[in-house]
Amino acid sequence: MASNLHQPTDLPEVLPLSPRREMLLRAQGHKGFLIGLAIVTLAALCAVLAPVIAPHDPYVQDLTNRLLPPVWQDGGSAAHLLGTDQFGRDLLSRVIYGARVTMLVGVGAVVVSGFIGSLLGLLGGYFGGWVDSAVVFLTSVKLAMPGVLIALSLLTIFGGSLLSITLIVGFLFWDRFAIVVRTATQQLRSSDFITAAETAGASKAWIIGREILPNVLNQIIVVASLEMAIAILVEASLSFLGLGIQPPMPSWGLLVSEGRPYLMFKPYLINVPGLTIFVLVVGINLLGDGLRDILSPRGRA
Amino acid sequence: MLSFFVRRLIVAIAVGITVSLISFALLRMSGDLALVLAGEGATEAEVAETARLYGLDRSFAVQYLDWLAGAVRGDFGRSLFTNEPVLDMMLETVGVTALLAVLSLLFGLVIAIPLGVLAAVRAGGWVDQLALGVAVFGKAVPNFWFALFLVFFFGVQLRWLPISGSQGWQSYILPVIVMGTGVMPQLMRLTRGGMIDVLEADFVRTAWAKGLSPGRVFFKHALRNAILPVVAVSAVSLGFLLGGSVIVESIFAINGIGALAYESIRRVDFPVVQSILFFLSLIYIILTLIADLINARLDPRIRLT
Repeated sequence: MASNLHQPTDLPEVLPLSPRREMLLRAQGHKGFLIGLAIVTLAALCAVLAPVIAPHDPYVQDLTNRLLPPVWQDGGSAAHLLGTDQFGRDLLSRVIYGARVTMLVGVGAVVVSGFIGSLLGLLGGYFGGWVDSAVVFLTSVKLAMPGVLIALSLLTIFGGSLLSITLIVGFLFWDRFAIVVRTATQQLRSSDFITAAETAGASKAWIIGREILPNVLNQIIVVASLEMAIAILVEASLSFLGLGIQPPMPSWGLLVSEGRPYLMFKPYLINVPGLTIFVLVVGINLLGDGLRDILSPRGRA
Repeated sequence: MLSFFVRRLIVAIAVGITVSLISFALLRMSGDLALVLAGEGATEAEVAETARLYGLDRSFAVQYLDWLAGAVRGDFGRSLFTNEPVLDMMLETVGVTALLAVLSLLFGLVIAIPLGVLAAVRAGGWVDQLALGVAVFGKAVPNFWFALFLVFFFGVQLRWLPISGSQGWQSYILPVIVMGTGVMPQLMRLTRGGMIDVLEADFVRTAWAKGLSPGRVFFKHALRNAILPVVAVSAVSLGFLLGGSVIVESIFAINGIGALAYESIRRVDFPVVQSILFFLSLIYIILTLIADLINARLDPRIRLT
């Protein structure tokens, strides 16, 4: 207590910043991260608030107003800012509702693939030996198979629905989680705190769940953001090929394929949804790269 | 080296066998194939007859081993749709896809290596920024939209290039740009990273100290060492391109193996689909095996693990 009396009260902080605050500061100065965060937040808001912000019903056809151009072209009107498709449906509303499909599949697939991959990576990295060999073998098998073709085959069997696409993409793209988490776990395996927990008699499940997992969580989050970008591109591709999301549900990939016959005279029908996917995926990549810089400033994995 | 090769080969064979099992099992998941094959409204006797005709009444293991034994001898069965031997169908189409994949890889490398080297030489400079921008674009652009956009711009607006088919070299330009752009970011990142590491190495400092010209230091000394991992990854990228050509082939109406797979998937032609899945995986396995051997040849430490 006595020593406190000697300390002036208006000194700037000399204590090291708390890790959380340090991260926040790094985030505030990271331009890419902030741009990515803004884009992803916007897409998430569109997905959640679609019924509120969409100017029209995305399913209602209006055959008297087919193929209206967007507002910046001759003949466009403020009633349909991005124009209408071949059935007179409002393109802006369809793009906004499409955010629901994209975000649901993107997040859902990453939850599935993150769970499978992280579990395999933790088990392989912690136990080593034949368990590790099995994990490496499974990963090699997964990598050898052409993912998009497998997804297409599975979709013809199970049909294209939100649930089937999410699960199929999740089951097919867990490899990067497994590789990253396995390496990270191997590095932690011989740390003093793991040895201490083992000596103290902690169960293996406890060590993996309570000691290792929290320490590899940052890496999992970074991989998750980058994998979400891939999941979104895969969903869009599958839907574009006609085996993913089925009409009339608006998926951005499906919107591009629906606009394809009008490529020559109505290019906005493919460019609006195409550009939307592109911008969102750039945003997610920026967010992921930013997270990597912010969460692990040393040693860029 | 030899024991490393043998061990690596055994793993590759095991992966290949597992892949063949999965490819084969995948299409049996659709339920009763005989029911699908017999067509709608077929009587029970007709379904049973179909099952017997296609050997679907035998156990899964017998069917699989029968198929595998054929596949090893190059007999992949016949298409349910055209009744052609599957091997012929694959051999007819794989050439176009292989050409497309090799050209796309070359396109990717031609962009990635100079850009990666220049970006590393002036890290943080404007070339580095440009390279980053190009990489961000390549990673994020949906290839189907990029393809349609190029068709619109070069084929429809400017009328410079054919928009579909695989006749003449011009028809390969747009597909190669689309597929090459997809693999380019990773190759560039590797080149840039490798160059940055190598430029700090002692032997490069020695080269500068000897008074060599920048061109000789960068290309003769630095790049030769930085490029090694890129060579190995190129083999993997090639396998990825071979298995990922389906969208580009369908947009540009190219009769490659990706388009054949897509067609066959749509009409539930399972002998063709399972054979293509197996065949493409096999190519990938061989390419990664080569990549590993290149790596091991270049870096003796790998052989010990």
